Amino acid sequence: MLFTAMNRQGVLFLWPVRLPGADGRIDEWSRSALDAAGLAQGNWVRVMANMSLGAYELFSAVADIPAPTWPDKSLTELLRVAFRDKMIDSIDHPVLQKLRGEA
Amino acid sequence: MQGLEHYSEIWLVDFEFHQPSGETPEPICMVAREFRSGRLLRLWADELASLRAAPFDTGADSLFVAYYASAELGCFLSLGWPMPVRILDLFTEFRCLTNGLPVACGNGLLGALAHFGLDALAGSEKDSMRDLAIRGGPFADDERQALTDYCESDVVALAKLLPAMVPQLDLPRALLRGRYMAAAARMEWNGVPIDSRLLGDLRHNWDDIKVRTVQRVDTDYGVYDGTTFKHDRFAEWLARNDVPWPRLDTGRLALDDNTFRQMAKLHPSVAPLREIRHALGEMRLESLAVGSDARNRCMLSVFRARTSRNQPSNAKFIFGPSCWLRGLIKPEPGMAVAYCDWTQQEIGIGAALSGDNGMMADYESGDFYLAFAKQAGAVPQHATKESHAQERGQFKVCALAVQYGMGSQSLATSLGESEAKARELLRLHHEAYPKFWAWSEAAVNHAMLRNWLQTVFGWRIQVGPNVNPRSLANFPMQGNGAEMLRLACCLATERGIRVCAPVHDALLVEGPADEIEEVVAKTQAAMEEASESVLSGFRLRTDAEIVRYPSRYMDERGAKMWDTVGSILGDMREVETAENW
Repeated sequence: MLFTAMNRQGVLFLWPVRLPGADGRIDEWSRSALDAAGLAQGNWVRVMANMSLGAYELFSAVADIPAPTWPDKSLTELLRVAFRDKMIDSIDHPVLQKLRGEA
Repeated sequence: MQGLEHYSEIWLVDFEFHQPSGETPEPICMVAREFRSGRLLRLWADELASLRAAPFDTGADSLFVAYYASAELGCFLSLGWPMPVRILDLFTEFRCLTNGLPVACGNGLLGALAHFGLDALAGSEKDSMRDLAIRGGPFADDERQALTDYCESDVVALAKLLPAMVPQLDLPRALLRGRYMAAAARMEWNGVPIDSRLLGDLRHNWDDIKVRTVQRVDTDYGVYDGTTFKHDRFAEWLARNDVPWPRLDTGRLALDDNTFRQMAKLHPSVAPLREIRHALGEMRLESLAVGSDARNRCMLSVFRARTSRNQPSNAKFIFGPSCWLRGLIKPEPGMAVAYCDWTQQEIGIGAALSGDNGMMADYESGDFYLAFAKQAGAVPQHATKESHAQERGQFKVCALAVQYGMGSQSLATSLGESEAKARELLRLHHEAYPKFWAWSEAAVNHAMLRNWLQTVFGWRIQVGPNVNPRSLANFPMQGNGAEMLRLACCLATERGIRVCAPVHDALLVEGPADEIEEVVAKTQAAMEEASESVLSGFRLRTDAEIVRYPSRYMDERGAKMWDTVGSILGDMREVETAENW
């Protein structure tokens, strides 16, 4: 799943987070990232990797920090900016050709 | 204006001066304008020289305002005038306001005016007037008029800039920074005593010396082909000598000077190679700024670094990257110099500001690295530096790595050990000093959340989009270390100590050979007092190394290279002169 996110320095980015598999299982990194994405929808959250824990540690800001100023762009437009020249836009795209063993 | 109302007079001051490389400034003209009344003083060199003090009030009730005040204050010293008591330097304050953020038009006076949307003298006119001042006298009447008018235009610019900046100033802290401009002026004016005869010999023979030095140094390494450094031969040398070396993403060895500098600290056997690589590459002996009185003087470039540390030109300053060149520092007959530095300054700062009692106690033990190893149970309580040198070495690398926010991978490379070993050492540090880690992480969190971080005396770094959390973790140590050095320089120079130069975490001071112990004691007292002021009463220890004439100063990292160059120069010139090396 892609989340639209912004850091405190005003940098906008798309955050890919893995969802549980068909069997409902999910690794701890992805689970804690999903928790962070949920928490961050109402609060500023610091996400810090804890290698010993094997997951992200989450810290919610307790101070009164202004909400981010989101750009006036749709997700489709953001995707276009984020992926720019990495879009597969035709059946003849080199990536697909390579997957089909044609290139 | 708020904060300035209790000053009876506010003097905006600018000098034009002539200052060949390595010399003290020679004032050409001065313009001073009282901010409220508009009273204007325009004085030419001969009028300035006839005065025994500034022609305006410089006492505690008046404020002296300039842009990069150490230049103006250098002229005060050349004229023999007493220093102003209250100094507000708008360059420093502009740097403090914008530190960490991009500045569209630079940090000069024109840049500051542009930042605040104020109009200014055209840059081209500024350049032509600067060129005229650099050319020096004698000046025709129209040139005198033009230079004085130009000088006045900078004062007019200050009159615009001051009200724009005052609402954002933290005046008490600004005055502390201004006070350092006076100390910087004194240090720049004093300079460092240099063996200029030997420097002349080195300069004269430098091209030959370089080639022969490579040949001589390379006998221990075998990594050069002529004067070309060979990557594969260096890789073989590293393997033969069990020296782990950082690599680039491409897999090639990292060969930049920064890597060499770091690795030379960890593996002293690499130091001569670093020296020769620098000597062959960037070092320009001609650029070392030495005046006719055999003193190295250059602009200290105060507050230039993001941490607020000085950032003098590597090429002009004797304490640049070529450690071996520091052997040129030699006191004059009857004199001595002393290099006084704080012991493990950054660790002491981290311990005190975090309030980690265990870390403070280990700092105060006199050997932090060994105390850390004992705390971690890695060595017995009776261990000494000699009995457990290897373990102590590992804990030392770890303790220093922590200060720079180094992760386990980089630490493993520095140690030449596995990443698991590095992770274990970092875990031991976390366990030994939990309060330090909580404090350090809180500082980074604050910076990431609030977008700024500041030292105890208010030097602020703004966090922009390209933030590096590691440098933020190190900022409290570096920034407060810079505060400590500045305060020590102020105290020392104000107490009449002749400070030649500030050097990162040290002061080079000078005095008559038979009084140098007293000078050192006073310097160390000033440094300890400064540490107590910055660290709420926690005193950092200091060390001192005294060098009396005819001995010369030597940085141990450059000693081998110095001896090699000395021996080559001795071969090249007559044997009798080699004795002077």
